[in-house]
Amino acid sequence: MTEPIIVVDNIHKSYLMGKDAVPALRGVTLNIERGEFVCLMGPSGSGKTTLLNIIGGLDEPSRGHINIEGEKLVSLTEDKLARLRLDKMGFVFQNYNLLANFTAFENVEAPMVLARVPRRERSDRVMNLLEKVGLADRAKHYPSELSGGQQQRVAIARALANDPPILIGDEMTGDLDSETGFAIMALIQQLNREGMTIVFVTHDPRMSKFAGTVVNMQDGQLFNITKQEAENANDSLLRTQKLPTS
Amino acid sequence: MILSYVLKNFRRRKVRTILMILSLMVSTGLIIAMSATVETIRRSNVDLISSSIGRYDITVSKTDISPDPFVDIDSVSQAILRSDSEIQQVYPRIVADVELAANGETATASLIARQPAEAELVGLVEVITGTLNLQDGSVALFEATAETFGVQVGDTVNLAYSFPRPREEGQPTVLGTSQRRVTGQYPVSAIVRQTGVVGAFVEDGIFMDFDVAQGWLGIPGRASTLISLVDPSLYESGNSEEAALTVRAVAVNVQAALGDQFSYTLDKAVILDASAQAFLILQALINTYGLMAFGVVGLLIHTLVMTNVQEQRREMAILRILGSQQNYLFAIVIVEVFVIGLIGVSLGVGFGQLLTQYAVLPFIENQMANEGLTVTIQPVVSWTTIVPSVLSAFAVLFISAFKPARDASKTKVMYAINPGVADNIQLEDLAELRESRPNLRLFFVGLVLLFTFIMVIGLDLVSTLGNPALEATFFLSTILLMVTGLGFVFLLLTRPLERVVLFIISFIAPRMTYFASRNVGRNNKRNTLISLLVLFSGVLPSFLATQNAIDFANIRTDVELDMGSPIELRVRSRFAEPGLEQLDWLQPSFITEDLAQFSEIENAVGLTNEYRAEITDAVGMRNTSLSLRGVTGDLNNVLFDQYVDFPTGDRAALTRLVDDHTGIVISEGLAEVLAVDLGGVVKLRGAGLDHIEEFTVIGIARRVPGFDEIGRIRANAQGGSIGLISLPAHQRLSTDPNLPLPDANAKTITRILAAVDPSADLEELNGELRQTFGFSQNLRARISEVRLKQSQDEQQQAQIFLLVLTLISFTTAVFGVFAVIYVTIYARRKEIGMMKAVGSRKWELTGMLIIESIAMTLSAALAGIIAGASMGYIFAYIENVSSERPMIFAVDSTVMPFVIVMVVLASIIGAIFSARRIIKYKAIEILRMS
Repeated sequence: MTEPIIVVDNIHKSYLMGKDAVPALRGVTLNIERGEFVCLMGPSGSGKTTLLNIIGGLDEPSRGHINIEGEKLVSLTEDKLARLRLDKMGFVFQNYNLLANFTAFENVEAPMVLARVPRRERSDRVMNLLEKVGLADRAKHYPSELSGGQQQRVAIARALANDPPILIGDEMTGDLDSETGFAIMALIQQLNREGMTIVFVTHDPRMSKFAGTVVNMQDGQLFNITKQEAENANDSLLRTQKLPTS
Repeated sequence: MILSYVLKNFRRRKVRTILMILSLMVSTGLIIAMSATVETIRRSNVDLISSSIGRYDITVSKTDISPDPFVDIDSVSQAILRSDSEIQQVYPRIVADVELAANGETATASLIARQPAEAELVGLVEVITGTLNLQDGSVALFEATAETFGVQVGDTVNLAYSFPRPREEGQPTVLGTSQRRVTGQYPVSAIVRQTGVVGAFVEDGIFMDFDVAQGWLGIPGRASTLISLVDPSLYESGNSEEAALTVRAVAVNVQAALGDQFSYTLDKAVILDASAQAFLILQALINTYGLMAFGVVGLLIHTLVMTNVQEQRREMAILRILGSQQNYLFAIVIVEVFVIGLIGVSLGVGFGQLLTQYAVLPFIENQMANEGLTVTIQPVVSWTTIVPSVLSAFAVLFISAFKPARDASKTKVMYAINPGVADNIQLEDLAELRESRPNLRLFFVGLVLLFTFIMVIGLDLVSTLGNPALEATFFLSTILLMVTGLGFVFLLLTRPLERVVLFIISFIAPRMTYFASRNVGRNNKRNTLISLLVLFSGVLPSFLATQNAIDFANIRTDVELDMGSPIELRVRSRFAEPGLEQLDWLQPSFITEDLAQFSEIENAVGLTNEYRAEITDAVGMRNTSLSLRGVTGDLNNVLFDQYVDFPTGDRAALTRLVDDHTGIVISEGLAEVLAVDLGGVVKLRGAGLDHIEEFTVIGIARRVPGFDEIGRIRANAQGGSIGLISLPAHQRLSTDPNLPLPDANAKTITRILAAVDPSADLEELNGELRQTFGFSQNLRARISEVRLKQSQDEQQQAQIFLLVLTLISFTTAVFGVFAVIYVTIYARRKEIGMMKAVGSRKWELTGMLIIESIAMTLSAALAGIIAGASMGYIFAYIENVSSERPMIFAVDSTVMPFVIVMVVLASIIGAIFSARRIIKYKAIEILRMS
């Protein structure tokens, strides 16, 4: 068995609501192997987004430890966490969070600029990534000129900019129609097949079928972990496309 | 209910509320301080004038045709006191020009003898060394006099007074004669400095006890002058013009009582009257700056309140669902702004008073002390100062809050139900679509056009009304309009300038500029407000600073062109009557004899009085008039030669002119008027009948320093130019052929241009010339280097004033910058959160925001500077062309860099302060917030 890339050890997280502490996570322990495709599911308030944020270094636990590729997140300063996110993680959000004044090309280029990648190398890599998500011909378009699915693909390309080993997704398909959602999942599945570790949150059971591991949460705790044979997202996409149009 | 909701809002939006209060406080405070300063100086003006002129109101003395030049003290004093109840005291004085001799030096000085009772009340005498006890028969010397003569306390001085012979009515004074002469020797008991005893312009003076002076001159019971003091409350109206006219009315009563054998002077009232206009202009200038400052604050409040309203939209929608009337929502916004205004303006009133009392007035007193005036200024912050500022502030507040309040009142209920679709057209919009409302924007465009039209025709109209205050206000409104117009025109420049600024910064911080340049350059919803705010604030200071810089750079040129040579002596005739003024003119021998005593003067050329003559071409087809001046020597030896310009012929014409008695040098403009060339013949009509002489044009000059009337513009030449001829030619032309020619050494010189030894002590030479010829010959000597220094000092004072105005105008702009950056960053929380999530570090985000702020504000400041400076250059160029003077174009190196530094600092501090809180949050917290 390979060494886990993400180790979540007895994580607790509480939020202060006025004077009361409201627990969001209550002792979650989870190991994610390198190359695993993990889907976090559960009802609203179950703590799945909180857990995802803690894994992504966007939030810190109240108690417990978390290791990313052997590095303890809890002991890192804010700036070092930023650096870790830059190098080791890519983020895809439900509402894309693209920079409105940047073209598709520049949105993908931005993390590379932060990581001080030389200009010439940046240009080649951005075009490769845009080609990979099928948007090479939209490189000069601004987010406002792209559809939701295209914007999400730009967000995915941006998440891959610094070739991170982990991709974190929060309701990546939440704002998309089924066909576009399946297309996005097909792309994510493809990345996973290429060796990338994927951790994502979804409400949609159809999307969870494409993950190899489904972690169900309830009341801030792990309810169960299901290993499954992942469905091929391309098949779902094809089925959708064959539906008669009304 | 509204008030408690408003107070809760304050707590919610502490930073914005504090910013609005602070900006109102500072702008109101500064405007009140400025107005109060003007008001204070205006009210202290009487005191200031008294310090510089003398602390008395009406001076009565005998006219120079009176057989007895002295006044009988008892009878005349009583008559003056009876003539008008406003006269409170009358004191006799002996004021006379005496010869003072000490340590081998002799010169003229003013003797001032007064009674101890007057000395206690009028003016201030400060003893520098010695003891002031004049009753023992000693004298006190002015500090400057003691220095000039090298006199110490304990030394003795010799005084001589020549009793003037009265002038016969209708006849000129016979110079150099007197009735009798008295001399005396007096010990010096003190060296003193005075304020308000006599005018500050009296540099050389001697104080003597009144009784001692009476005894010395042998005039018991008589004085040379009686000074009267009127009731001080006459000056308390605060209206300088009114006070001056009241004093004049008192003087008229005195004149009625005493008759015409006395002469009356009211120097204080005269200056007070003249100063009224200056105060009006100053107040109008401050009003203009105040309006601009409030305009900037208005824009700032509008932005912040608009942000509040947008943020509160959901709450407003809920209130509407609950049944709130539109008026209620409108009132919530207006009350909020009104409460902020109440706090900010109240604090501003206090701040203004403190500023006036503890900063501005000590500064003015210090400046006055440097000018040698000892005055204590009482600060005046009256209701007339406060009320207009407060009313203007509230008017601006209402205008700024009106649009946000109206937007709030029209909040759609859908914002509470489904904000995502609220901006789509709703049912409630349909009613509005059907409404046919007048377009307010068009109304305002119309108003601006109308205003422009009024400005164009208005100046002439206003000048016919004869109200100087209205004229000043109108003129400054025109400047305000120009600033606004320039601001809008040059706003276009901000975009390219942003690129330039970002390009330059990219060399210092390439990664941060990568992000900043895209955000700044491509943001369609960019805030033009910040650009306008900074741009407007930059235009007027840059305009004035450029003019000041050009003036400063051209001081030497102006002084040298004005004077013509390093030393200039002009006759100050005591007589205005035609025919009499020549009594004071100089003989040509004055140059070769009297002036030659000064070894520092290398060359001197005398210029005769101006003889107005008709000039025509050879056949009389074209004609005009010109003033002829004869020259006694070669002007090339004395003129500042870098300015001499002869486009046709050469400057040797000025040399040839001395011995060519039928040659004339005319201006290029006049040559064009007459259509004559070099070597051409012109005819001049001289004094007497049929006296026409032919002259050959031996030089055509475009510019000769010292002669403003010589130029190339034809229209100016038609209005009157100068022709230079030889001294004999001048004498010949100005004498009727039926009369014998005057003696070659007859009095005819009115002006002398001279060159000076560069190694000479010019200050000393200036003093010597003044001492030697100032009184005896009525000559006014000017030395270019001394005048240059005075002009430079004056320009530096103007520079300080300009810096203060800039500081005031930009202090409010800084608040504006601060607020707009705050709002911009607040609105971009989501983007900042995303950048953090992707891996941007705090300092990278702060850096990016700082660069964005600098790019936005600096580009606007640069556009404002370019706008103001361009206008300054255009104005200077027009002035230069019309005055036909060469001009050095200069760039201001004080105010404009100051503007840039202030803007950059405001941007940096604004960005750091505004970003500080949001950047502290974790990425996920920011994203959750938005």
